[in-house]
Amino acid sequence: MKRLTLLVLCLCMLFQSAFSQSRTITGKITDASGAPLSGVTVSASGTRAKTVSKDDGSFTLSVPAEARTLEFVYVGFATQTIEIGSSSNFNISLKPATAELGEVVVTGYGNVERSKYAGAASKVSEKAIRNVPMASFDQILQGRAPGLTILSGSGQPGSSANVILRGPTSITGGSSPLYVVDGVPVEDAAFQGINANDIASIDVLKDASAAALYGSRGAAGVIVVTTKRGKSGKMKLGYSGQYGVKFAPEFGYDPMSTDQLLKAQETLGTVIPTSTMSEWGTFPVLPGWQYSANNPNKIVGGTVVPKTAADFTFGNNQLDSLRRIQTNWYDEFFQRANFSNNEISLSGGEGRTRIYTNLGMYQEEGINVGTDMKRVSLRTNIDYRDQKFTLGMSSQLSYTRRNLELDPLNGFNNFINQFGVAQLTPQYVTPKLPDGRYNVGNGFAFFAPTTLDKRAFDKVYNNQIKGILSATANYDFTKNIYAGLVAGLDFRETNNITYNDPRTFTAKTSTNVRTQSGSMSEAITRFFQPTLRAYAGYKNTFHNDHSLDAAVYGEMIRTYSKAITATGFGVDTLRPNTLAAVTPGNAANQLFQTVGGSRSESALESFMANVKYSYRQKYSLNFTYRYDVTSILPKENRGEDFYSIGAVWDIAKESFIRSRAINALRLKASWGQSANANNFPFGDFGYLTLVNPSATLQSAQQGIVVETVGNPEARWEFTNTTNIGVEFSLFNNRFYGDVQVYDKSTKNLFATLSLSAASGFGSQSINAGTMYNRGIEYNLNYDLLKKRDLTWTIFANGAYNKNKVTSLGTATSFELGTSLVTVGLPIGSHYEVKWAGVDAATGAPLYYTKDGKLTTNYSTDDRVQDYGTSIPVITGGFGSNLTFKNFDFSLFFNYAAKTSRVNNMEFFVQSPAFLQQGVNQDAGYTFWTKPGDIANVQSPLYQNNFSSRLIQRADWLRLRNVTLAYTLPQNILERAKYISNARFYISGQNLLTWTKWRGLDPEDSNNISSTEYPNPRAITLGLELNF
Amino acid sequence: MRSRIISAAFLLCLFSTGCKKDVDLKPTDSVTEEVAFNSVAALQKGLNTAYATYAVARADRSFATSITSDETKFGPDNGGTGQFGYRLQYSADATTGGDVTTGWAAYYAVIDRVNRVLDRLPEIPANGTAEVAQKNSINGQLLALRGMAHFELLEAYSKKYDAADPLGVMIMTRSCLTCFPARSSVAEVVSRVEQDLADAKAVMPAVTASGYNDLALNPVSVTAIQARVALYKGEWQKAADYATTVITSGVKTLATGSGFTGIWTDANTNELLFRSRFENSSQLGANWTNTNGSVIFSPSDKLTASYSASDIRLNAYIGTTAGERYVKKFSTSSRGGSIVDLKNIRISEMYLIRAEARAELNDLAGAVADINTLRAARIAGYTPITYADKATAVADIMLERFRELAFEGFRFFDLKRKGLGLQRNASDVDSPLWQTLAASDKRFVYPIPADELLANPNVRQNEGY
Repeated sequence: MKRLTLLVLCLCMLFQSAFSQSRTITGKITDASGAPLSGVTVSASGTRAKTVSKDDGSFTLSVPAEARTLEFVYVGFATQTIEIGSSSNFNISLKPATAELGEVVVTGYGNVERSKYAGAASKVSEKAIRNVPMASFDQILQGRAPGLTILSGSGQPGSSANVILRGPTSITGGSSPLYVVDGVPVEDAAFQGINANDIASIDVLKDASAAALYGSRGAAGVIVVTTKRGKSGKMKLGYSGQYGVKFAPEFGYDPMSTDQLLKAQETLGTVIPTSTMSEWGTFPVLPGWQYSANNPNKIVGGTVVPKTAADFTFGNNQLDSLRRIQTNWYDEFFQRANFSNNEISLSGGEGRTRIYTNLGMYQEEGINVGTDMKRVSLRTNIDYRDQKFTLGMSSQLSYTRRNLELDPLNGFNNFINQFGVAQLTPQYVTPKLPDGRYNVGNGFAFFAPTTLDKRAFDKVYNNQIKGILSATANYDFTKNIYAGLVAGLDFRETNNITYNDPRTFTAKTSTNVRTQSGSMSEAITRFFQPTLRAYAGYKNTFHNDHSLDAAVYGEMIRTYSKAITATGFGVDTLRPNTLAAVTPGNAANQLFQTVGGSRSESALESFMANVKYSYRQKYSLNFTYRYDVTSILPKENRGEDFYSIGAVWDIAKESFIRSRAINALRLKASWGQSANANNFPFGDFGYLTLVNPSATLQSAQQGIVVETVGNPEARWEFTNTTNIGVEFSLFNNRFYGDVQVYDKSTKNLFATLSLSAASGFGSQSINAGTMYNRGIEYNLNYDLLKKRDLTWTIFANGAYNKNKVTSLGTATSFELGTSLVTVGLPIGSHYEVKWAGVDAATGAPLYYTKDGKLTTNYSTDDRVQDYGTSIPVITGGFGSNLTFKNFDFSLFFNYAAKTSRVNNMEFFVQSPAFLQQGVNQDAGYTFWTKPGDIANVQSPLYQNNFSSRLIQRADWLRLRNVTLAYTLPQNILERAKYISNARFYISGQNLLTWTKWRGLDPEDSNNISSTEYPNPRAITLGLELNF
Repeated sequence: MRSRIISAAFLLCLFSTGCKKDVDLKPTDSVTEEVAFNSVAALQKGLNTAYATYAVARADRSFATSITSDETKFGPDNGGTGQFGYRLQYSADATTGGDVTTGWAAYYAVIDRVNRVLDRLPEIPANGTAEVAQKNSINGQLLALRGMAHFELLEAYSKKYDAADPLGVMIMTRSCLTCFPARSSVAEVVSRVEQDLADAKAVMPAVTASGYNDLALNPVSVTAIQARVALYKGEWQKAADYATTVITSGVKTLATGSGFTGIWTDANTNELLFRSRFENSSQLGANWTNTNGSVIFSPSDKLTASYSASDIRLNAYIGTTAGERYVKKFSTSSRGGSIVDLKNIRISEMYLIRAEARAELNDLAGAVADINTLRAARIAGYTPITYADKATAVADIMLERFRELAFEGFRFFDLKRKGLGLQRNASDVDSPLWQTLAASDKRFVYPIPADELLANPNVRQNEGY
């Protein structure tokens, strides 16, 4: 509190300042087409003189005699500075902000001109985001900002991606950046309700200058989203429509046809002992061998007996009929899916008020039949601005409904995932019986039809209501002193429904009375996060040379979460899919309904100071201090200080730079500290030992049971980031971009301490260990052609990040999922026994022992870690934008390299053991059958084990987006009275992929591929009209 | 307008920075132990948790010792469960040693749950005589459980009793999350166990046969534990005396006929001094035969052949389904298949303890009297026998323990205690490699789990692992 009072006193003293003689300057501001621009801020640099242009674009400004330059600032346009000289009237034409060096960095705590911003920030423009047929905007950012690694976990409509900025900063906590929309922090990975077409720009803040602004939450980076605001002028009606198709996925390998599989089964049969064959019957596991004319025996009652002549005939007939069945399971499960998006917008404003409103209706089918997403979104942004007061109101309301994939990623043990069974079920099985019912049953042959049967009845879907509201108010008390308030709200209510119908084969064959009777489960989760921030600041320029902007902030954020779940059994099939139709439970039917729920709360309160100083625009300094107090740490560790400092040297402004080729050249450096509260893994009360005071024990008595032992010494994970960057614009601003190098060191890693059994528990969450991410990033743009009717720009960005765990406290490694975190290696390093091929003489699988010797003995003790990591080391994107007359054409590629993943599917489709169980196989592999065979997989007589054979390079290059657009020329539009602008386009998404990965999609967020929903290819046609 | 904004801004700043109380939130869905332990009733809940934790540890021990001894053979439907235990190939790591090492953490969990309640107990006030008595009883039960848990750890993870052996187990008398204790000597552990049991008895209210609650430890059942400890130490007179005390207390008597077979389907609680409840859980019952009826481990041929046809235990302990023998002793109750209670201490064990102690004291007549009493209850038309010498007597009593206490977690430790070595029937093994185990073999002492050694540098591994 003392701190604050002092600061405010200082501000008040600076308030007083002398006035001097002045002159009046007038003028008019227009855009490139000559239309007047109102609301442009006009100021005399180095003075307090400031005004805003009127509706007709005119302005009048009284400036002190010493004023030398005028500055024109307007959102969406390049800031323009002109010499005043002796003129007193100026007609100014503002150019749209294109060359990114001139732009403004939106930090969420005010805007900073890039030239004075000491940190590393990438801006993703509206153009890159607009009209991409994906419902979650984080997925669209892929390849757009260097250092931002976006791994789409799922291609299911509306799914969020796994986003990592400059490498993982945590082991158990996660590395999701903080998202801020219009100044208000929002929940991550919940973007299905946000219409990406409402986004004007996205600033990706990567270094400590930005991170320290967010203190305890900034360590994993900050993604600041700014939505579109109304454009001044007459209210304009716009329509945007998009229609498209998404294509069904393709196999990552060639599945065996019916003939190939039957042949493979026959080959297998000659190798395995006859006694392991199944009983002679009408649908054996291995028809290719059982019915084979080369197989003289059959199994009856568990014993091997010779086939009779009738058996041979029967077998031949059976094989003939099986050969006629060629089911393409992908066609049964997947589809060419439709996509459409329709939006109506209004934008405009007279005088001081501007409005932007957009109603969007998004509809996307999934390539997996039955999955889809529908969204209705309404955004309304209202801005008010007069000479002293600005007010911005932003609101986003949306309703989303998603039909989800049944049993996503559900392990291979129960084989009900659709992407899994479609690959594993033999093609000689028919999906349906002649009577129209699905060909259900037990065993591998029936997994696909059984899953289809389940899909016909069961449903998993969710409804989500999402609201993001924010209001920002700023008041300039004087030319120097300003203060303001930001209030915001992030609200989400998700209703998840799981309906299991009693008519499915799965339900009917269950031994559990509740499963048999069908179930209906509803869960409602609510997330509610209000933010309130107040600030006061002082800005001034002294003696024309020193400009200063200092502000203090107070902020509070509360997060409330709540969940209610209800499950009932014994559903009435006449009324499927409602809780109203469940049967009340009693002792006789055992169909007891269950009700559960949870709620929790956390709070963060902060004080912050931010100082920006610049000397002649040549040397700039940024300083940030933040004090965060949180509810989620133990009392003694709650309050924490965070600092950052940064400097910019604008070399191009130095007199010794004479070369005209250098338009801008800036050297930037920053250092600061932040923490990873946003990915805190211990829960809201993880510092306490928490118990359930009335848990039901297996003795049916009530007990006090410890739920979590807690970490009474919990602290933040602290990340120190050092960043050095160069920004440049050369050769008439035709070649521009930036290069950044950084070092992010994290300490106090969230880790797990193994305990002695004497503690009564196995492990405790603690803070231990250190890790670093070091890397380099570049963003380069070159305007190849810059003619009136022809412009052509090529661009490329990329990043290299080296991640390394440098300490884990007392441990040297610990297992995390299927990978092992080890000191000296990056996170995500694979951990498997090294595969050495197949012994040609015996068919035995060969492995390497830890010390590199060949062995046929598989032992998990021989697991080593020299297969790289699942988190790509190199990422980037490149492309080209070409404009010719009314056409524009853009190409965008992105890639990830130095990454490998475990292909779990190959464990099943390249395995004689699974072939023996009736699983369809990859047509492209061979297994050992006789001495001398050079095969990639061992003899069926040997067990199949997880080894490095399954680890594959998952590097990829994708043609992410290609768009061709045509804008109707003005002379045609003038004839069509009511249309002011019309644009048509066709675009393709993910059209081409180059990869050695043999799974469905190389681009995924985990180290082992299961049966994830792949990213589809899509083609979209679109139309944009302005009236 | 201006003044309002200023005041709002300043109020907010003040709010945010000045007031740390605002971030002092309390959990709603769970509570801290301080809040949970607020009454004698809450102490009882804590004790219930300790009992439930013990049930898990003891059930696990029953299974583990049955597969490493001659009680079971590999079941026809076994796909590999317990193979390393059964083949006597266990080591400290979880893959091969899981069957025999899980008990380590399971028993320390019991001790921790006990200590968590004991740590709180002094500060909880008891109002009125009833609550005072209840609190005393809780205190006693907790101490007894702690003593018993330490004792059962010692049986599994240390060599046969030798007071001078430094490799006992870790002693825990208070809950401590980040303690990394060393192993105490056998003498120290035994002394701790005896102290806890004696302290327990000192505060426990007396019990009688009417209304005897076999789910809660009491002075009689604690005396039974003392008898076990004395037997383990070879303190024969003490063992006989404790057993006599339990037998003459009259709280339980030997049952016959359906009174006996009903024990194993939870139809009655005859003979039961201490029992662990599995109300709706198959944790115990699904060990040998899983819930869908697959036989993972069957009763060994050796055990099956040890019963005469007129022995009631043959059909009470061993069932046959579709030509396959299965462990019937812990297989079913009226609450459902595989759902069955764990019988921890039975009165018949006291007859066996006393018989053994008397035999060791050369009271052959006394010994044979107890054996004859037990067998008369079990075998139809039983003819009493006499013992010619001590060696015959002890051997016969060990055989009777094998029969009577099968699958209850005794056999493996009896072999170790008596230095007998393991001798399985040839028909019970698929390889001669695991048919026998010499009494001196390291595997009579289970390994300390590798996890413990990794986490706790103060703990020494047992010899040979």
